Amino acid sequence: MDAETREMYRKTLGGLMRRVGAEGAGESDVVAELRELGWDELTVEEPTESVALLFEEQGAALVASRALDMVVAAALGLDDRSVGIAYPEPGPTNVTSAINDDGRLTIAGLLLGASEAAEIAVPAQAGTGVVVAIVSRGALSVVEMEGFDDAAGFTRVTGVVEARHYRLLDGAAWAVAVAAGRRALAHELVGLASHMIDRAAGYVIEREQFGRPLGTFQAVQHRLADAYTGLVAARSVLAAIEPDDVLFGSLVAKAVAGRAAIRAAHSCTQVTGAIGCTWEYELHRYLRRTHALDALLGSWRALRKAIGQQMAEDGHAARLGSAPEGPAA
Amino acid sequence: MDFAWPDEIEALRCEALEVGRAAAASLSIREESWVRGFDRDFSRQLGERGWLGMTWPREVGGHERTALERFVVTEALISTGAPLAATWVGDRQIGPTLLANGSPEQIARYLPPMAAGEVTWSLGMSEPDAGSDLASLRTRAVERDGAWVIEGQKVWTSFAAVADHCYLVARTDPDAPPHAGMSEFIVHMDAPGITVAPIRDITGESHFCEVVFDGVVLPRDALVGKENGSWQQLMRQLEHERGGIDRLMSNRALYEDARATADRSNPTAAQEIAAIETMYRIVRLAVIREVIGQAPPGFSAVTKILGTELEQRIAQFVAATAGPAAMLDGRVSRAVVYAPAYTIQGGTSAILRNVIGERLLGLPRR
Ligand SMILES: Cc1cc2nc3c(=O)[nH]c(=O)nc-3n(C[C@H](O)[C@H](O)[C@H](O)COP(=O)(O)OP(=O)(O)OC[C@H]3O[C@@H](n4cnc5c(N)ncnc54)[C@H](O)[C@@H]3O)c2cc1C
Repeated sequence: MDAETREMYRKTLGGLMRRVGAEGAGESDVVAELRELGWDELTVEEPTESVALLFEEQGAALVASRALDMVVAAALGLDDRSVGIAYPEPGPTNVTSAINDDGRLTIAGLLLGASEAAEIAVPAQAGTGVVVAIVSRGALSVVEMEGFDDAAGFTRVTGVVEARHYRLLDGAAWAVAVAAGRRALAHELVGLASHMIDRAAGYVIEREQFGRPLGTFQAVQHRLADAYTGLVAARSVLAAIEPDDVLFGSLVAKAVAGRAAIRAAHSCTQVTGAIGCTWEYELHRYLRRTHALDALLGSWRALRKAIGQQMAEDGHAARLGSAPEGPAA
Repeated sequence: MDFAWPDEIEALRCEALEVGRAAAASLSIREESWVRGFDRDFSRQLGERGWLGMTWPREVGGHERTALERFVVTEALISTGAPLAATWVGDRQIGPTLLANGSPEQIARYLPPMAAGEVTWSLGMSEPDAGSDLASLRTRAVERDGAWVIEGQKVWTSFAAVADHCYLVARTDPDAPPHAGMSEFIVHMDAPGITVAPIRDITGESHFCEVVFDGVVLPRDALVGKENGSWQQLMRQLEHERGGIDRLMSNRALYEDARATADRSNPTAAQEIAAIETMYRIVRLAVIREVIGQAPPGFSAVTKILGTELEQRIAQFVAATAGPAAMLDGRVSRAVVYAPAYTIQGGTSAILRNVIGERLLGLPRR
């Protein structure tokens, strides 16, 4: 994609997201509007950049939509991209639904958006592997939850489905779908961080104490500079994902982006002082969304552990560790 | 050096732990109990036990106990999550401030009800344009017909909506250099002309408020200490506000619950627990040094930075221990979202670092 085209898409997507963000939850169907804009063709032509642009803009505008479902559904090879996804509940295990020995499917997961999807794809543990089952939305019941971010629109669901009431998706690779989801989420976290940093920078330029703008104090500059450094690092990792190493690259990217965004959220709150500690000021909504998205499909802490394990096991360590030629230390 | 408490202090500490646990037993959230735990009944019980104004003279309702005794009681109460908010500002800093700067009449009038746990105080310092730069405050106190007339606006005033009194800092001499033109006043919150509007905080609760003073008339004797002498008085008061154990213990109850469920076979978790416990003990000793009067002026900046930054580290530890499931847990997510406030309320860490540089290290001022 050339720079001009990218800018055009960024403007269009940004405009859509800002409009939806201003309207508030549930007013518009983001996914339907994207379709109308030619999203499906764009993802075929520009699979990487389209996701980057969409999710950064979604993060920056703090929009909660089912765009992630769309990305994951595509990665699962589903023709019907309107299928919802029952994301594993955030926690120590990668998958929180399972197919029991008697064939019954026990579901515990999170849906995006309340219930528009008629069908839900459920990743489930089956023996030593993970399969993806399709169930009807009606088979799931909602569990009350109280957590970081009500506005993110997560719905916690459970259910038990008899074998004759679900079908397994042929050839679906959940790991590939997770990687696609992680990349999208990493971009969204980058979008959140980027917006928070802009917002905080704008604030410290405006507000004065001791007769000068807060932004002239080095303590304030350094907090924001560190947040920005983290953001740049996250963007670089996303840009550096190798086509032949997408699973690992996506995992690293989400870990780096999650950590950077959480740090940015706390630094940005610090430099805005008591204003940043109010409900009215928008920063805390970004802080909440940051924590919520970090928790989805692997928090940065959990992923960091996974990175270490994987590097130790399959020789990634050797590759990453290959330093340019030079005298041995 | 013997770090064990003498028997009678240890007994007092255990008693306070028991009282605190009982008082907090029915509370689902036991964090920030000195900010959000507002309970007038419990306050009166504290008064009856003699746990308010513990170090103050008997004739003003105090109990003439040692600073260490007060330390172990307040530490135990905050660590268990006992609801201290209704009495905390008075007990922590307004009582000591009045003892140091108030007239005999003010001391006789205001300290006994504080020690009895019957009144709530708020702190009217910050203004919309005077946060870190407190000396730029603009709320005016003008002397007129033998009274003080207050015009202006305060913000972030914790408890203002429920407080009986506000300890107000206002400008009395607009022509003097900023630090030399401020004075302190006792305001009765039922005085005509005061409007209080609660502000929702980052967790959705609202303990702090905006307070507007519109021609509020205070009697002449509402002035505390020296006219235009607030800055020196405040330096001491802020040491009480910043240097205490509350700045270390806010989320101790949550930490203890998380530590109990943490996977200690995980080296990262074990190391983090070790680091927190080590730091906790170091900060506690620094606070004790402050409490027993062996710290240099400005030292509270050190204890507040160490304590509140540890509280933030604890919030991260708790989130890590709960794992991503914290996203589904109201108590943990509340604690994480509130954590930024620790290093803002009571003076930001950046300002306190400036204090350390200038006052403790003697570095040149900017
Ligand atoms: C939960 C809570 C309760 C509170 N309760 C009360 C109360 O009861 N009564 C009361 O009077 N006030 C209260 N406050 C206000 C508190 O004292 C102020 O928030 C604090 O002093 C910072 O002021 P500010 O919020 O205006 O931030 P600002 O002063 O605008 O500071 C914003 C950022 O700039 C930085 N900064 C500012 N100046 C400098 C400098 N010179 N060098 C380096 N960095 C600098 C700060 O560190 C901060 O990160 C409360 C605040 C909170 C969050």
